[in-house]
Amino acid sequence: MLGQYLPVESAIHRLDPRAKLLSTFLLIAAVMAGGWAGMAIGGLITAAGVMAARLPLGVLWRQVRLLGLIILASVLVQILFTPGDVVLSAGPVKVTVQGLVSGVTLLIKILLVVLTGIILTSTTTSLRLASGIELLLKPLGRLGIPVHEIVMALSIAIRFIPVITEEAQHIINAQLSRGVAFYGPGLGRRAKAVISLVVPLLTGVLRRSDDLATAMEARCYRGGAGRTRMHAMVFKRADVMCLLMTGTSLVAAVLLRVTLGL
Amino acid sequence: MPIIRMDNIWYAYNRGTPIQTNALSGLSLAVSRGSFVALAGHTGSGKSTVLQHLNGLLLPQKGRVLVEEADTRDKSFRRSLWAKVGLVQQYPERQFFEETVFSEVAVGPNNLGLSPAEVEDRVLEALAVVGIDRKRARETSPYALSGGEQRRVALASVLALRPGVLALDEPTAGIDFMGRQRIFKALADLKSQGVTIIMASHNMDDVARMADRVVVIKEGRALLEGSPRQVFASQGCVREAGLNLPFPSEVMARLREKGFNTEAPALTVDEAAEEIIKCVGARKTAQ
Ligand SMILES: Nc1ncnc2c1ncn2[C@@H]1O[C@H](COP(=O)(O)OP(=O)(O)OP(=O)(O)O)[C@@H](O)[C@H]1O
Ligand SMILES: [Mg+2]
Repeated sequence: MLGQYLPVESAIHRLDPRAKLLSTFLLIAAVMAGGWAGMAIGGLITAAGVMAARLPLGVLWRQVRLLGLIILASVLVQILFTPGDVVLSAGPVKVTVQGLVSGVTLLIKILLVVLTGIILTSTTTSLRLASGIELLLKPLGRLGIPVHEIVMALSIAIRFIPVITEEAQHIINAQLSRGVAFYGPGLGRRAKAVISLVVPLLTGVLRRSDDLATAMEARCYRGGAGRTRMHAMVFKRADVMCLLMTGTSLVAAVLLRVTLGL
Repeated sequence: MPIIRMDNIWYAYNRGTPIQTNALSGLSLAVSRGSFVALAGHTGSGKSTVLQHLNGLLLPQKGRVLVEEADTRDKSFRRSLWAKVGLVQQYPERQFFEETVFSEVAVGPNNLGLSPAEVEDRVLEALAVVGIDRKRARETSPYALSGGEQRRVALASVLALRPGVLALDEPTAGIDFMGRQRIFKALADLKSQGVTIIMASHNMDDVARMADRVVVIKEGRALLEGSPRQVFASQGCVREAGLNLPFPSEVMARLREKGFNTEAPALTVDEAAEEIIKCVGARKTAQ
């Protein structure tokens, strides 16, 4: 599953979620804003991150593959529709040098962005991720934006993803057992299959959210100011190092591109 | 010839990831035609995983599953398997999506491609087996029924396929006494019509009452197999699997501990009562 947390002991898992979030943004910025040098630096750091997080390559591959179609489609569009010097043509289809170059560039950039995202979500529980986002967005609270409530809603949504996935699997199994055709031909039958999943799934979600709201009220939950955290978050050396590394890579990527055109 | 055979099957969820869970580790079992087999096991022992192998929802990662001598890994066979082995999952009432009970039960037969008249026949028959009024079935939404009724409608929606094998996952979980009686009555009727039934359960009273074979599952393996009488006589094994004895057997075991001279592992309350009367009588004459 995309974005699934993988409970392993590693240096990256132990990092402060704020440091991980910021580093992820810095790294993505370096890859997107930089040229070839930016991609090389980003690639190196991403590879180091994968190793330090002890993520099995098989798992990474399966998650990337889930996005395979979207990635492939965007790269193909880039290759086929960029005007320039034609190197290959078959009928109306023309492939240009510029198209190939920008296609490959796009492929590398997307892969790096996806991989950094996967590192973040596989090494951080949704709870810690939400706390990190909340703390980073806290200054916005002064502008009257209800940061805590937004993050609470977000983290409940994230928390429910595996539950809903499981429920969906359960319902799909039940419908398959009654011969509902989720795979295979026939638009009408497929539409029926979708309904047979969506109706019970929504019913289940409504029941669950109702239960959750009751449970939260029964525990006198009220969001916002004055709430404390079970695990206080403090920046450690490793967090600072992580930020320094990704920050430097952003600066280096931009400088190399601007000054040397790399 | 057993109607179902599982040979040394292995299955792990999320295989090859750090969150891999081994659900089945070399489980073998055979089910003979027309029998009522109970899969008894503690939470997480792998009962549901076994049931999902029966109608091809899951395929063994090692070993093989044969249904009427055909391998479930065979793709063209698997396409027709859902109608041969009817699976009623745990909490099957979460699957409803039609507007009326009648059309909910008709989903399966419609997917078999039967004529409307035949679909109607099967739906009415299935509703009769589970004891739901046919007039009400045409007017009521499945979500408007009580929990026990919903469970029976879900059962009917699988029975309408007229499967030769019925696989049930905890069919009475969360259902009150009367609801359970009705479900068990339906199952007994089906068995007398020759349907092979496989039921996962951790309620040993239900197992003792309904099953003629019991397979005790522990950590994805079959630990013990036999008639209820044989299985519940091996108290140690049953306890090791994290299960209790049926209530009457438990009572007799306690009486034995307290010095009653009785060997029989009573399975039903009537048996226990008779055994107790016998023992008490023997004591009185001895005095
Ligand atoms: N969809 C799934 N994803 C990951 N692990 C699973 C999944 N379903 C079951 N498991 C795990 O596989 C093991 C066997 O589960 P299974 O549901 O077959 O047990 P069970 O005997 O039916 O338990 P219960 O009595 O609680 O229903 C358990 O450890 C369970 O946590
Ligand atoms: Mg189960």
